[in-house]
Amino acid sequence: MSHGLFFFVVLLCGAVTFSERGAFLLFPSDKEPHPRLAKGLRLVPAAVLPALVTPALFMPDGALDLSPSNLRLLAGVVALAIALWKRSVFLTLVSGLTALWFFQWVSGWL
Amino acid sequence: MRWCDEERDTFLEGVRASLPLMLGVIPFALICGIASMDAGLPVWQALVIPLVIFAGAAQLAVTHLFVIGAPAMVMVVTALVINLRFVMYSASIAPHFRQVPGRWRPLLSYLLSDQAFALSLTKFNQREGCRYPLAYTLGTGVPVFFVWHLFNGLGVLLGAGVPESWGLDFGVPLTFMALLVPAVQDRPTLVAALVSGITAVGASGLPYGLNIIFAALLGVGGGLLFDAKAERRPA
Repeated sequence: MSHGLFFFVVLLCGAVTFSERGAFLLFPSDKEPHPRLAKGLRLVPAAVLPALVTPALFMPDGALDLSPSNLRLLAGVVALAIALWKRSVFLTLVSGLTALWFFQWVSGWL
Repeated sequence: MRWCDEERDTFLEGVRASLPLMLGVIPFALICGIASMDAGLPVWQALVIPLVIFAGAAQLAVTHLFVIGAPAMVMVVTALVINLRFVMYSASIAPHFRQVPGRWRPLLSYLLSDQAFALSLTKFNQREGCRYPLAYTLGTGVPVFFVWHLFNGLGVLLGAGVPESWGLDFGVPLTFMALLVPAVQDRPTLVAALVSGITAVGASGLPYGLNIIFAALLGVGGGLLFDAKAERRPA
């Protein structure tokens, strides 16, 4: 895809995002989402985010790798523990990246 | 626009409330800038795209899809699915903005980031409530906007200069992981998360990053199914 076409797609994505944010805000009204829709929407963040995480941890090079030589999986476990404990984006990032660098350094010695 | 003193104070209260969250916004924005340069995008696009989308997770996913050569349709649907959470935000916060005049609503919608939403709803649900919800939400949203673009720009500057061995791209899944933890609040959301995480790996053979959309839909389905079952069971 050319950069020009990509930018056009980005404009579409921006319009979609704006419409989603404005779905119940853009026009003053008392309408509420259908209860079933509301139930589904509530689950969206929990259902979207793992799909962006697990492939990067379990298949960093494109194939499933559960061995201890998969340093990103090891670092991810460390980061998850910190995320559950501290509930901080910043500390999760710092601990995950530090763990990755540490494991890279150790595996350089082995 | 004429704001009374109390409205201005409420705006500043929102600004102050948003500051601690910048610890999460700054690295996320840096990574977005770096990822745009890694994807080989021209500098002007790396700076303008976050203005157009203003949603980091969707921007990163769409940029990744560009790199792997996915078709336009997959990009748009992926952004739509990842940002579906904003529809939920929009619905749950709208009752607090009933009095807000129409001219403020586009800006309000545009600035409704994860951070602005979370801070605002927390504030509005306090017992003392909030007399000027518009001022408060804008107060939380505006700093996120400026810090986001400032550090995205810094990421664009650094972009080419950061060695690949640093593994800074690993910051992307780490950010999502940190956002995921508070999103898992009960059993249905846990089921949704597990189904999605496993499906994304299991279905990675699907072309063009379609595994993400597939995993998200299956995750919502799994969570709903679990919810329905739990309701039928006598408490």
